Amino acid sequence: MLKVKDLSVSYGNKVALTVSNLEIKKGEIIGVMGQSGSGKSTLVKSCLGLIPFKGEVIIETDDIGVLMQEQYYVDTMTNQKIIEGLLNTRLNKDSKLQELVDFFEFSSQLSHHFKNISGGQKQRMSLIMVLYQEPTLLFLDEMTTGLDFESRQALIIQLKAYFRQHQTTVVMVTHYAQEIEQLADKLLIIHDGRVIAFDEPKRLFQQYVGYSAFIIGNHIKTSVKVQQPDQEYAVARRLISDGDDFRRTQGDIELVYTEVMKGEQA
Amino acid sequence: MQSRKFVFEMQNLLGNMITLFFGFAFAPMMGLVFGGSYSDVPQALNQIYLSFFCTIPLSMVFVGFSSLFSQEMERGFTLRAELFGYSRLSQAWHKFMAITVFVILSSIIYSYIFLSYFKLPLPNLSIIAQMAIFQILSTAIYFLIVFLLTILLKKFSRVYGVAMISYFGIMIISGIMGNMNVGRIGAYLPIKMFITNYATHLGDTSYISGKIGLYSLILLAGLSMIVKAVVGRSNGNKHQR
Repeated sequence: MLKVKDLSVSYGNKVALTVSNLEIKKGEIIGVMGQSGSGKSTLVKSCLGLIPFKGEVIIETDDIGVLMQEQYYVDTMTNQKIIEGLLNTRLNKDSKLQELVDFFEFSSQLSHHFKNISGGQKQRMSLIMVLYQEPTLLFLDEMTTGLDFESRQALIIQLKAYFRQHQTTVVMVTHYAQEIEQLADKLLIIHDGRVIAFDEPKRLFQQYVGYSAFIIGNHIKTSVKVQQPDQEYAVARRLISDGDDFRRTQGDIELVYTEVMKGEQA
Repeated sequence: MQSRKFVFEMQNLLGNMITLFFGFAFAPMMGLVFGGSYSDVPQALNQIYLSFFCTIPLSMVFVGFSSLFSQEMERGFTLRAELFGYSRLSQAWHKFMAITVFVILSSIIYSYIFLSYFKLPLPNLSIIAQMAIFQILSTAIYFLIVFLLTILLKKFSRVYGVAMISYFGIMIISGIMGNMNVGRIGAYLPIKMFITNYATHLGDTSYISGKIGLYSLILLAGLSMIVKAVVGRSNGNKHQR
């Protein structure tokens, strides 16, 4: 669906991103993580041709949808009129649009002006318009940044159901490990403008953490990595006897991300 | 043209108070104020009528549209709409059509108010048609200028600053505002040519002037080429091979 070869993006003299080889298959959901300024959004923008780049980006479809982090629509009319205008349709005559509005529970917001609705509703409105076009390839750039926990969780559940139903290929830039855990098939980590990891989260966990890990006191930095199944009981007994609060994981994305960033394999 | 997009752009203009005030109220207000001093001088009334008739597309585009479009550009709406498949060219076309409808509508309202208030006869159909063509060509020229300014300057404050300077500049140079002597510069503006030509021929039945139309078309063609080059450059191949 998407192939990137020898991609290089520069801002002035500074090289912001280099990707030697990246391939995303149809129906895959890729979670992209990295620190601020690492090159995540640059990757999306170069795939969309919004910024100049060297190299090759091959996209096997014209049906591309994009959801940016910040949303702005005109304030001169209601949300319904904006949606109808941009999609060139009428809500009461378009069952596909009605279904999407119902799916994202947006009906009550249609008569409002865009500036008066919450951040979560703003994202839903954009998603309705993006998904109306039934994109085969969808880019989501930090779509839940600024949303409260409940709105984020509700949106993720809705998207999970939608992606499963439509087999959409998704490239999802995010700061939230929880989104990757719930939605992504593969995790792509960018650091200092380079791709430093790209694989299924479970495989990355095995590669960088090991068999399992005990996260003590819910702090990723205080975790105990376990390499063999038979070591688990001994570690658990020790933590219990020390009176520590802990949880066991075999796929915590935040832990994977932290370990990948350290660059030390298990 | 896509009907819902056209309706969208019409609603967008309708929701903008600056466009409504300067596009619809400014010309009748000023026309009645200035015309009141010359109500018994038909030739002067003709000149005042045509002067403020010309300000309709000028105000609609330079004051109203420039504020609306530059804010859309600055806040990323233009790009967002492009990502929804509403291309920049299509946006420009639908916006232009909506503004043209507003200009024609405002010109009719203004003419009705001015001519009936001062009890002036309605020009004949040939002159009305020429006036309508002039309004459409003027709208197109101003639209391309503001579109180009917005693409190049991007920020609302910059675009609006330049647009307002141009707006008052054009009104001063063409003699609509103030009595500043600017030599022959005004003669090159279609507005000045239009007012000078038609003020003496407004009551004629057979007067046809192709000169202003042709001059406007040449200006339009030149501007179109510049816009095409600029938009083409900003939308062109992003590869840095």
